[in-house]
Order: sequence, then C-alpha cells, then structure tokens
Amino acid sequence: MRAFPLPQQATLSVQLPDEATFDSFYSEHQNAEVVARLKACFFQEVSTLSSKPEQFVYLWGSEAVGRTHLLQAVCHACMTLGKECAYLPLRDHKQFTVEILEGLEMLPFVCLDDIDYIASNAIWEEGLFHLYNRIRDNAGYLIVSAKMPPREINICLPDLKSRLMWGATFQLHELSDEEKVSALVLRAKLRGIPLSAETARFLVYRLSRDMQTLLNQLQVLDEASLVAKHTLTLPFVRSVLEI
Amino acid sequence: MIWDECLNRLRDECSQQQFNTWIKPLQVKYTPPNATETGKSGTLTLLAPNSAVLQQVHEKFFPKIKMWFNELEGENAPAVTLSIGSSTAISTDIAETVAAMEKKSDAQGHVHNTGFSSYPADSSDFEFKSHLNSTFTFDNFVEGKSNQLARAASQQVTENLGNAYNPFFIYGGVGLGKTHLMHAIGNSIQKNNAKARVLYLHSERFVADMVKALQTNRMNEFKVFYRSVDALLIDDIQFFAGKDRSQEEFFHTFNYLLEGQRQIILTCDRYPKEIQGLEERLKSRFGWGLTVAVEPPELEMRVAILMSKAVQFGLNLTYEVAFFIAKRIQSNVRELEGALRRVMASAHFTGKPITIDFVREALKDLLSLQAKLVTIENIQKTVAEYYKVKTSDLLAARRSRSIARPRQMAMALAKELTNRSLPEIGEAFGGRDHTTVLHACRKIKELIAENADLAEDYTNLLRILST
Repeated sequence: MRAFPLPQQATLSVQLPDEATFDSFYSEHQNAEVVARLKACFFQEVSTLSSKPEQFVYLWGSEAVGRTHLLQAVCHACMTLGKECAYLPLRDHKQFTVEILEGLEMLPFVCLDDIDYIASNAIWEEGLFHLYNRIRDNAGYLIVSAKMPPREINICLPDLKSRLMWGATFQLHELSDEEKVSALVLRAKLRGIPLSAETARFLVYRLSRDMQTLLNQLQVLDEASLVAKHTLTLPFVRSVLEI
Repeated sequence: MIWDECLNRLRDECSQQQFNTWIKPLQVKYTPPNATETGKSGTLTLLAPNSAVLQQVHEKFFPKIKMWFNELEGENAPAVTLSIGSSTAISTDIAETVAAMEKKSDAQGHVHNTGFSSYPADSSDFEFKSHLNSTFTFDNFVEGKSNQLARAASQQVTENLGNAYNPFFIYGGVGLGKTHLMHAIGNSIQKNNAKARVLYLHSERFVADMVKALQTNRMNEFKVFYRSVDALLIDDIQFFAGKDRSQEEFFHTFNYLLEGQRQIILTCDRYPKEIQGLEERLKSRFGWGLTVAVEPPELEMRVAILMSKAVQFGLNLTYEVAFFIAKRIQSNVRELEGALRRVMASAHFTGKPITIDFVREALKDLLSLQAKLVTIENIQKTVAEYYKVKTSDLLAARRSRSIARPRQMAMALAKELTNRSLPEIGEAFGGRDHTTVLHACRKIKELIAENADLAEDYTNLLRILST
C-alpha cells in the first residue's frame, strides 16, 4: 500500500491504522449493502474474479459514519492480497501539490478520501478529472469519499462532476443508538477487552454520540484498563471518564 | 505584390463569408526559378489547408486567379499552381522521418491503399497504443433528436476518411455521448482496416507527452509519433486553453495531418469560437471541417438509453422502471448510467426484483439531499412554533401537560436528529438531568405507538426539521 505516491512522500505522513479493516466495521442493517459491495468489488474480485466489480465507487455520508475506515479497509484488503493501493486523504491536500495525483493511475486501486476538501479548487478539480480519465484508460479502480452525494457536492468542473456520477454511489448511514452499542462491543472485542452491552449503552447515552468520539473514548478506556489492570465495569468507566 | 492585388479583386468579387471560408485560409509559397529555367519567373503555389478548400478554390476561383496573373504581369507572370499544404515550417528531418516511416511500413507489406501508414513505433515512450474503448460502438449508441446529426456525420467520417469532414468537431455538454461517438468512429476505422493507426487520447495526454519530450529532449520523436497517425482523436480539447506551447505544437501537428488528408476528430464542451484561452488560428482551423453539436437527451431517449444499458449490463429492466428513473435523472447520460449501476448493485445484493418501489429505495443514496444541519436550538424553536407555545416555556420549570408534552417531543427529536449526548440535551433544556431526557424519549416512543395524533405530530416535525 502506498499512502501517497512519489515524489512528495517525504512531506506527508499517512499511516493506515491496523484496526481499519472490513472485520472491524460494524455493518448490520443499512450499511450492510455497501460493505458487501465493496468487498465484492475490491476483495473478492481480486481473489476470485467471480463478479464484475464496480470500477468507480462514490461513498458519501456525514461526519464520523466510517467513510475513512472503509477506504482504509479496502487498502488493507488489497495489501492482504498483495495488490498495490494508494490512499490519499484530501482533507490534508494543503500539505502537498496537485502533482501528487500524477502516476497514481499506475496502481490498480486508488482511494481518495474527503474529496469535498478540494471542491471549488480549480487546479485540484482538473487534476482529479485527469486522474479519473487515466484510471479509466488503465482499467484501474477508484473509490472516493465525500460528505455529500455527487449531485450536491460543490464541484465546479462539470466534466469532473458528471464523472463522479458515473460509478456506483452509496450512502453510509449513521448508526442508531443500539447499533452504536453493538459497534462498541464489537470493537472492544477485537481489542481483546470485554465490554458489556450495558456499559456500552452507558457510553452512548452519556457521551457525544458520534462514533468517532465513542471510539476515541474506548481507546482511552482500553489504555486505562491496561494500566489499572481492571475490566471495563460501569464504576471504572465512570471514574476514568469522570462522568 | 501580384497576390495582394488578386486578393483585392477576390474580395470585391465574392461575399465576405466566401472570402473568409475559402480564400483567407490560402497560404502562398513562392519558388524561384532554378538555373536551367532562365527567363522564367518561378512558381507561386497556393496552399489550401484541406481538400474541401482546394476543391472550392479550384472550381470557383482558380481560373480567374490565373487569368488575373496573366493580365497583371503578362509574360513575366510566375506560374501559379494550387495544392494542399502549409507554408508553416515543418522541420525537414521530421517530414523525412515520417516519410521514411511510411516507406518502412509499405516495405513491411502493410495495407496502404486508403492512406493508412500503420507504422509500428520503435520508441518505448511513444509506443503505439490506440486507447480505443471497444465497448463504444455505433451499434450501442442510442440515437435521438438530440444527437442524430452528430451520429450521421460520424458515420460519414468513417466512410470517407480524411476527406468528408476534416477536422470533425463534436461539441456539447458533459455526459452526452461525445466520447462514445469518437470511440465509435475510431473502432469503425479499425474494423475497416485493422492496420490503421488510430490514436485516441485526452488532451491532457498530449500535453503530458509534450512536457515529457521537452524534459528529455526528445521533441523530434514526439513530433514523429503524432504525425504518423492515420486518425487523431483528441477528447476535451478545451483543456488546451492557456497551454500556449502545447497549442503551438498541436497547431503544427494539426496542419501536418490535415495536409496529408489524415483524419482529425476533436471533442469539446463548447463551440470552437467560444473556447477561452485558445489561439485564434486554432479556433479558426477547428471550424474548417464540420462542427456538430450534441444536445441533452429528451425523456424518451433517456428511457431508450437506460433500456440499452440494461441489456449491456444483463439486467432485466421494465419500461415502467426505466421511465421512473429517466424522469428523475435529467442531467446527463453518465448520471443515468450511475443510477442504473446503483440499482443493479442493490438487486444483486438483495436478490429482489427491480420494481419501482425497489428503485425508489435503491436510489435514495443517489438522490437524497444532505440532511439539514439540525441544532437543538432549531428543534426547540420549531417545536414551540408547531405547538404554539413559547420557546422559553420549553426551558422553564413548568410541568403542565400543555408544556411538558412539547418539551418531551423536542427532547426526543434532539436525540434523534443530533449527536449531542443526553446530558448535553438535558443541559440545553434548562439544565435538566440526562435521566429526564431518557424518560422523555421513552415516553414519546410509547405515545407514538398508542396515539395516532401524536405519531402524526412526530412525523410532521421530523419532516419539517430534516427537509
């Protein structure tokens, strides 16, 4: 996996978190389809060629619904299969120049996260447009993520906007509170720390309920439980988080 | 000069449009007499940019021009000839290299009776690859009022390569089939002659190749490569705008290919004259052949496109469903295709038949607007207006039913529509405890199941707040 292409890699440090895999993504109910489709497109396809994959996928959803996680999961899947892949967070595009997109089409899989951040930037829009065409010519795969659907995103270059509409578009939906509880229990389990549904529910009801905050607090609890050699009981959680 | 006088006479004799179309593009090349031709006055060659201009000038103006030459200079008049060409300097070595390539191609036994050179390139950087997409053909191009002229002209181009319409310029908005037509022409040319060197590329590729050639000091190779094709298909030439060096190089390539009756096909998002940042001489040349527009497809055509794509994808799509999608997606063909891909993905995932209800659900991801940013303050204000109470009452300590119920409703909506924690919501409602919020949410949930009026209130408020 290349988190960024040459020649600017020295200026940017992007690392894939180990946890960002398909297995650690809670995907019951509404998000099951998009996860299954991504797996079919990018994981099963490269291993079995059993189904015709989508060459372009546009993934959208509000903050902290798991877009970044899924894009990184695609990269993990590629790495597992020995395929090259690039992950580029456009949220950080000011740290580099548009030339970073040059040559990405040589990789079989390219994931561009948060393309909203380059919307209305003429140079970046044109750069992305040309990259799209080159990936298409090379029969590669491109997955992009954004906060808005392609119709609503503030892309000014019509050529790019129409191309973003061309592939398969999926919305990542926000989890319900009970799904957040299940997602926390799953994530804790993968970290090897038992977390009861009751404690997870306590977190959901007492903390800001976006998944990013909840997972950050789980990380805090994980570290605290390791230091204190204490399981995540309700009193322990209350005392660590002071709530 | 004798030619200037001829131009003055031609300007008087023909209309402004005729003059601009047929006479203005002519270039003049004077060849002095050689040593063995003492006494003669050399030759003045009129160079027409393409066969269409050549033919028109030959038929309508050339006899007069010759007559005026004799009239003005008598026996001292230079000989005057007419041919296709350009006085723009093409470096001799390039011209010779291309000629050598074509000779080599002939020696290798390639078919050459249609003007195709079919030269196998040696250079690895400029290795020949057509970049044609074989899935874009005339057969799967859906024709309608909005594109029938462009399609008919495209077929004409393939039947009369380099002559009928050269350059062939297709323009129109995004996602309307310009690229499809371009590939269809290229594929058709290759079908007629497998050895034809048809090169499709996006304008960016031409620019990138040229930059690379300049960096590596291999401009001659670059020129030879682009001037050795039988058909050059360049997509989205509006991206040449502002790239002066690329425009200049393309201008020479363009002239060279046109002189040799090689086909040039260009697409653009607008009419040539309207491209900002493009040299006038290029704009003018783009209009020498045929310029056709493609317009957005009308409803029936969008339905036909969907049905055709469905067949391509192996999807069972009814007319009613295609109509449902086509009515909702009007912008361009790419979005139509994207919608169909989304429906297909959902159908494969769920295994359900593709009905209108199914499509409505599947396309929610594509069509839904982003939920409005909802704040607790906004919820309080909206609920207060809905129940005709004051916002301050929702925050106050009063517990009367007329206030308590709207307050509970607002709390439940705040939990549903925002990511704020329960303690934060309680705090926003006059400093209440999080258990009060939890109680309110449970109460409203119970009441929705029991009380139709309250369920309706909840639905109405949800709709007001999220649309």
